[in-house]
Amino acid sequence: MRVVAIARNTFREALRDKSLYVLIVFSLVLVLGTRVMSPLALGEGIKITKDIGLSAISFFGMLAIIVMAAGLVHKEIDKRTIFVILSKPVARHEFIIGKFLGMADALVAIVIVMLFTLQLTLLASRAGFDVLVLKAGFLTYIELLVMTSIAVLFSSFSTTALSAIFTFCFYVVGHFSGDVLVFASRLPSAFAQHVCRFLYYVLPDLQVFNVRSMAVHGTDISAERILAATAYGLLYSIGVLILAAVLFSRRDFK
Amino acid sequence: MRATTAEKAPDPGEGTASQDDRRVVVEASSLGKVFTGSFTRRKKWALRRLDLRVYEGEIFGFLGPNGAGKTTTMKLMLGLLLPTSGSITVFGMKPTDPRSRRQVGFLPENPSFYDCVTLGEFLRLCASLTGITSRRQVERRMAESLFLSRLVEEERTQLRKFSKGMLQRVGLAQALINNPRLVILDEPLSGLDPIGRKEFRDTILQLKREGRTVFFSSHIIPDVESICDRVGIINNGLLESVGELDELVPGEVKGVEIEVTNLREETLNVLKPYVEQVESIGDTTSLLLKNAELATLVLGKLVKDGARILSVTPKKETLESLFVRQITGRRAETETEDVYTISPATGDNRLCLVRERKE
Repeated sequence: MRVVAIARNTFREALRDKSLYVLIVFSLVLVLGTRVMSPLALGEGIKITKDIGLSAISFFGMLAIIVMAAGLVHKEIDKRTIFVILSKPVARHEFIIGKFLGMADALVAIVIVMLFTLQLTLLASRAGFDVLVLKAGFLTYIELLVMTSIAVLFSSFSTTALSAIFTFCFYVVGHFSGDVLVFASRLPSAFAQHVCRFLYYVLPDLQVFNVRSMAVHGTDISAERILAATAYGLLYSIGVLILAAVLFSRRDFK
Repeated sequence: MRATTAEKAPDPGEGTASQDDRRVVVEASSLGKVFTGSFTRRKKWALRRLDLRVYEGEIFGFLGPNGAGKTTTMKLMLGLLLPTSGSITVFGMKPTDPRSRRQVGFLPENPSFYDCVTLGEFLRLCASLTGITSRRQVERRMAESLFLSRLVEEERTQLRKFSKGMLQRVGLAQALINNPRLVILDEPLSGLDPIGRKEFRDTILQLKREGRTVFFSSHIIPDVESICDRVGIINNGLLESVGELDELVPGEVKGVEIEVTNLREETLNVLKPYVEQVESIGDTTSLLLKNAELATLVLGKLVKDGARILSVTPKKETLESLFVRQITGRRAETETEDVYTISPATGDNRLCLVRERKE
């Protein structure tokens, strides 16, 4: 119940944050703008609409995380609202989970609005309703959840600016972490190979969630792929949140 | 209960019952807290060997200058800080256990809340956090806390529109939302206008009448003096004294101040052995006697020598004078404890004085 109360409050705060609406408006303009560009794409307009639309969900979702989630915990410490919350019978891990769930709710709202607009644009282009776009949108949402958990982790022990930078670094590195395994297999030293493998397992593999090109080219996305990616994303987020809760529970609030 | 310079550690086996059968709500034993500088890694004791008990139903005033350790003690009670040494319990539980805060309400110093929510939304959030689930109960508790904090008509106002004094009352409303048995108030009266202070004092007294325990910190001594049952004075992380107000400040006359005019030089010379301090402003001379018993003797001499008595004022020990004496006394003590040693300052064998403070 306490987790739900914190999540609801975080969601309410996010909805009243003007930057959220700026991001949504920008992304909608981008998606709707593809309608204008599609005649220039020599018959590939639908693909361009899908590609830009799905990339916009990922990009603007990530921007929302950097703008809002990176300061999720630190802002509470900075504004001293944390004294009011933690002086109630709230365990520290409940606070962390509540903050994460509140931000996850806000991301659901962002992703739904953007997917809805993308589907409307596709319908207006006479491409019809596309289930593959929905599947790709869902996995993009799971990717955003992983990034939210990482933002919450950094926010639990560092400043807003630093957590935004760290989170963005993880986002970039996360898209190339698969290459670390390839790199490891070509290294002569066994120790270096172990280090690379360790890094691969510690860093998130965000390419697991990237099925956007499959959706754009109409390749089927299997249920197994979706389930495996979802399970990976949720387990990774849970692991990161446990670490965040442990670090947060040892913190002093001066 | 006797006033002591530092309350003794609890007797083992005493349980939660005090000498006069009052229940102990907060119990700290040899409690210490060290803060480490972020960059310098320098350690500083914010609180040292604190032994303290707060009993059910009392108003306990925690007095001390800025940086004395008052807020640190409160945050240790609430689990916002973790102790470096010693232990503390609230209702018999460690503050790290969230259950210890079920019956606690806390008003932080200069409280800050979520700007974009209304007072009603904020209080509903606080009610949910304290475990109040039924809608009827939430509305009832909200009505009671709004009434006690005089904010009944502000339920739909956004918190960003509140003045400082009103935010203080919002802080009180959220602290009372769970009908707490222990209310911890950090500097609740600072920044309030005289009417606001009076209303806040009345609310604290009302809380006591309802049987709640109030632990509050302040450096506004008259406020502490007017409403507290027991007082603790803390300075530089050390509890200087603790006890009931009338034991710390017994109210006995310590000296007498006599204001006179037409005082002759010869009379003053005769009276000097009995006078501690002489101050002259224009024609008026003020004589502070060494003790009250000398008043009859000195007054007789003054009248006999033709001086005109303007006023005779008995001087009593006040909480303020006790507070000032303890704080300044301690400062003087630490200054005299500074030890100067001669040591080589640089490689060129010049000598310099190095001051070391005794701990």
